[in-house]
Amino acid sequence: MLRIWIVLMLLTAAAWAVGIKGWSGDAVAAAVLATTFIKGQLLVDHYLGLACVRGPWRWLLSAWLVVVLGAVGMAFHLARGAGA
Amino acid sequence: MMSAAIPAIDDRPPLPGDLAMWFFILAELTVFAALFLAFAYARLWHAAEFAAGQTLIDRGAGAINTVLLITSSAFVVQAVASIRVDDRPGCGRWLLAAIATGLGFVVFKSAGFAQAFAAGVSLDGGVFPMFYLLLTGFHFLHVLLGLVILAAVWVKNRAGAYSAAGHTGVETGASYWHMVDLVWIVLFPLVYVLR
Repeated sequence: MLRIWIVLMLLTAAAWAVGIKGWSGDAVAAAVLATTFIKGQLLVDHYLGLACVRGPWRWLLSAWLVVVLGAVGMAFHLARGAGA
Repeated sequence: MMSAAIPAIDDRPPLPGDLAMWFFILAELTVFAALFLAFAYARLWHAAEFAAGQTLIDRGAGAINTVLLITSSAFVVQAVASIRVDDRPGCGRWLLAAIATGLGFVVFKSAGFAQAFAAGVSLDGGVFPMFYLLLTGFHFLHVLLGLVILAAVWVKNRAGAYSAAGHTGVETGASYWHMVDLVWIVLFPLVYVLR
């Protein structure tokens, strides 16, 4: 469990560094959202304990992450196209 | 000759905690998803205001709050693991550690709100301040509720209500707290990091 916590800390530090540096662009947004998905999935599997439970619960929460992060990524991509 | 079909036995563990809490968690996640998408798509029409507004919020504080919530969640995982092996005192200690780090989030976030208000952020100050306060404030209320739930679980555990054989309450409270953490994990990059 300590290893999961360390990975979550490292991914948080990486996102914070991106924010501090002020990096932007589609590739940066995709990388930040991908690391956010990894963090969320680690939490779903190891903290919420859904990695191997009965029923569709793990997939429901994974789908929530995919849909939300995908739609956020699309919004940021469209904003860049609009000159934001 | 007909042979009766033998139903497959699902030997995977059941869902932790009370099923009702999981439906509540799904409802909460749906509400937060709508708020996240509203924030992201409002930014399409108010890009300059969002960019200016993001300069007023402290990214470092956002990262520290993430560390506090993830660490608090990790402590709750240990509390559940303790009660599953009948270690009631251990469960209590881990719950107290989780509550303490959760209170750390409350203190740090309150300071963040005070700093934002001092910088002129207000609900009627424009689209970005409205969304910032709505998203982070709504999440803040969930943190407070989560802390009340963890405290109630701690009190019941202290009274001897849980054991290795029966600890649904601990798992239910833990699931809610992890949901609060999951929401923040998405909120942090959306509000504090992405430009």
